[in-house]
Amino acid sequence: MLSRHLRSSAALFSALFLVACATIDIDLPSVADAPTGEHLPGKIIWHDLLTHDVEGSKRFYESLFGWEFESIGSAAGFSSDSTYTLIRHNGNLIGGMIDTVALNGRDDISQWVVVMSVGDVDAVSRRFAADGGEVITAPTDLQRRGRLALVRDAEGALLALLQTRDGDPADSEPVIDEFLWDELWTSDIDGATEFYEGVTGLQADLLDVDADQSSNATYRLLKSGETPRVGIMPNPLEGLGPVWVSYLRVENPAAITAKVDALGGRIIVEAQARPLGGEVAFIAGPSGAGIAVQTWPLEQKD
Amino acid sequence: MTMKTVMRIVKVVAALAVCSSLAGCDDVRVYGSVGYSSYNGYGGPGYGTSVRIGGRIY
Repeated sequence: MLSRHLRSSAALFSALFLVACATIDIDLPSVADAPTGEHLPGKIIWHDLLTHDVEGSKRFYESLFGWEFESIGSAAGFSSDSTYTLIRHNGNLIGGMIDTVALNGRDDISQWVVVMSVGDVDAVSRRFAADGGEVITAPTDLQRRGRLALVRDAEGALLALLQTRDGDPADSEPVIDEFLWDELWTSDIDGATEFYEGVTGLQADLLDVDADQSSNATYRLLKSGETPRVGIMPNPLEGLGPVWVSYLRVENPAAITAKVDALGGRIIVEAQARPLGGEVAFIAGPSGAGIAVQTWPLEQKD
Repeated sequence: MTMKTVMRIVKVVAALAVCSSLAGCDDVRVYGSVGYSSYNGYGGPGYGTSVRIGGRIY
């Protein structure tokens, strides 16, 4: 008798839990101010910063790049306003920021997450799992933003897949102090190249990136038709796990790195000339999330 | 303890569990499921210019 009552009560509350959760919707804005209505599979169309230090991160990115912030967590359906913040530059939407402490109390998952466009997020998620990756969060509807899944590739690098509802942002010339490029750093570039070709449909070019072509043909450029979308290269930093790294276009990487320490970040790789031209540096913000800064086009500074 | 009392306790505990779960069930979706970061515990030294990184080419 008692057992029957316990079972029926448990079933009732489980049902209530599932129904209630299913009715709580998160509504995030589109990733594009002017969606195209088209999907551009393989293109990185958004960047989300997971951070346990929202205020420190705001100061850091505002001071270095002039970014603006708009907290929309409550309006989007989260439990607090700080949970989700839109990032703008000169008014243009360029990314998002998630307060991991408000989200789930975590202070150890800070990182930039690249968001890759896919035409069918359910199918691509299944392909990630089938090819040795992992689906961290199954495809989830985010209303105006579209349908998003969180996955890890076969080496463990984290990224998000987004099937936009209204289309992706159009390809455009990179703007100074905005996102320029995205690149996977991995211990197995051949395996990663095969993996991403399989799951995204992009095609790889193999490149020499050293001016003297002495050390490698180890850079992989993944393209959609003739349009480069992302790069893959050997992880240059000992102790850092496989990771997607985003690059910002800046005028002078050395001028950026000169300010990093005072803003609570740190310099991981000092500004340096690139063999093919231009300069690049790799820094971390106050939460530890790494991001690269690069001049563009490739011409060397005077 | 009577069966009625036991059931009352079970219902209160279950109700608290449901409320607790509901309070966070929206937020734990998507990024709430991230278990670790590549940068967590990465205390690598500043590399100066001793390593080369990549960047956009085309």
